[in-house]
Amino acid sequence: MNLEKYFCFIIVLQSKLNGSLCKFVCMMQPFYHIGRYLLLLQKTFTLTEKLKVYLEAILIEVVAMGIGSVMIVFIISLFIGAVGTVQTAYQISSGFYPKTVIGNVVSASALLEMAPTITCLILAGKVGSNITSEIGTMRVTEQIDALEVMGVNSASYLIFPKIIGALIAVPILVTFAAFLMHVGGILAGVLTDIVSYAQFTEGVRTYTQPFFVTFMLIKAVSFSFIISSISAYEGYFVRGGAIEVGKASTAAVVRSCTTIIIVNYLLAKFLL
Amino acid sequence: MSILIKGICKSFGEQKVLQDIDFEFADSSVNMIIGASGSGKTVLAKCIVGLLKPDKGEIYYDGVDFLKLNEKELRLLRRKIGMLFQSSALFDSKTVGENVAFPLEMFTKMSKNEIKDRVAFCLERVNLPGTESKYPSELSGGMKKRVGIARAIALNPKYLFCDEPNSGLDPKTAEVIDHLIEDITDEFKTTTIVISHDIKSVLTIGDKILFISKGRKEWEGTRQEIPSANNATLQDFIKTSGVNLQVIRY
Repeated sequence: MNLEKYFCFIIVLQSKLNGSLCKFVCMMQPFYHIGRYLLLLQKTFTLTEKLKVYLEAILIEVVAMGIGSVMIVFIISLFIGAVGTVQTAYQISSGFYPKTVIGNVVSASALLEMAPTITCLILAGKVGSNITSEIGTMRVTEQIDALEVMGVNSASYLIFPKIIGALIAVPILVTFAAFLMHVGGILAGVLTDIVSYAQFTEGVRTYTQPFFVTFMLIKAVSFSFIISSISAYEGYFVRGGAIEVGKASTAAVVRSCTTIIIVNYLLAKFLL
Repeated sequence: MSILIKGICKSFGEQKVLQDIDFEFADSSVNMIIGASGSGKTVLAKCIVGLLKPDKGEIYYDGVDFLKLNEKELRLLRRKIGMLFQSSALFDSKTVGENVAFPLEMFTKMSKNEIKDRVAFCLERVNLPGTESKYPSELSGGMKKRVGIARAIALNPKYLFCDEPNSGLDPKTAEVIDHLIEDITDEFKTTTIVISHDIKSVLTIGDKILFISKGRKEWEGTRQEIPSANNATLQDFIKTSGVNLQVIRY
């Protein structure tokens, strides 16, 4: 399959044709991207270099993604938990529901939705755009060509450590975020006298199921793969210069976030 | 036997960039692909190293059909190729030393000390001793090209490709790069392929020359044959470059 030829064919057709045929060709574009994305993944997971090279690169990526994102995850998670407590308390202010409901709602929403989804949407912006701009800059400055000419499998050398790094770092960050959301919820409740520590934890213990944690980790692993692989794809095939690298970074964030939201629904539908 | 190309054609959409190019590159010598900007020189070089796939034609490295190699065989062959890119293509997040050491770390079992010695030797060879700790952004254009050459020769390649090695350089530095390429070819017996539009460097170091215009092969020969070449396009190219053939020593 000559993808380059197909790509040129589409461009020529788009420039020459109007009407329904052109629309049909445009409709086929997503399939072209999906095909090219799958071929890139195949190349990425064909490991050709020394194991030591990958291990070192994976460690670097874990540190860069994990440590580099701790602060933003810390602040956002703490406040999401706090807001969860305040808003749930407002909803049940009639007194009809027991205050333990606050702990239940904050915990369930943190584990099932907020920690994995919100954290990964934030990481799609922070980590994803970083991956795209790093690989995209290497592409436009011929550094990827230099790797290929040397006989290095550029996809596995550059992308594989990022995907594995994300698969390790993101679930840890999501778990950390879930913990902080609980802490934020308790702090907001106790400091403003909305709910006591005992009532909050009772609500958590009574209603939260162990599967919530499993579900959160399944989501975290799925989303981390989406963020790292889509961002790498956008960067790896960028053409042009600095402006195109910027556009690719934006596209990577948009596509990663969209895919996360869709996969989020599918996971909820099929696993809950 | 060296590199042989037969009937290479390459198009991008409707634009025909290369049309039916045949050439045999001479072993252990400086081969030059010359032509005006946009004539298809870089595309031809990228086809020969496999960065682009020609639409038609054959490429042989020492009798081996390059286009029929599988991924693994291709990677093994490429380890015999060193390439200096037009933009130098140095890894900008690595230091000069790490750039030169990169192919050694990836493909050899050399110890750290052996790699350090080899890096020092390669940098010494391109007249950049002691620059190991500098970053590419701290170097001038000429120095970047020389680091690119040092990285390209680190693995003792059999084939050395140089894409516009002296573009954007002042005449003095360009001359230094030209002589460096010539010396490395003699010293390491590499089959060197230089892509250039600088007629002065062609006449100084080119052992075998391929002149292409508008994607077609116009002329081939040695630098000594250029003044008497019976090709109007080539003569026009030389004339517009402003080089006086009478004062060039062959």
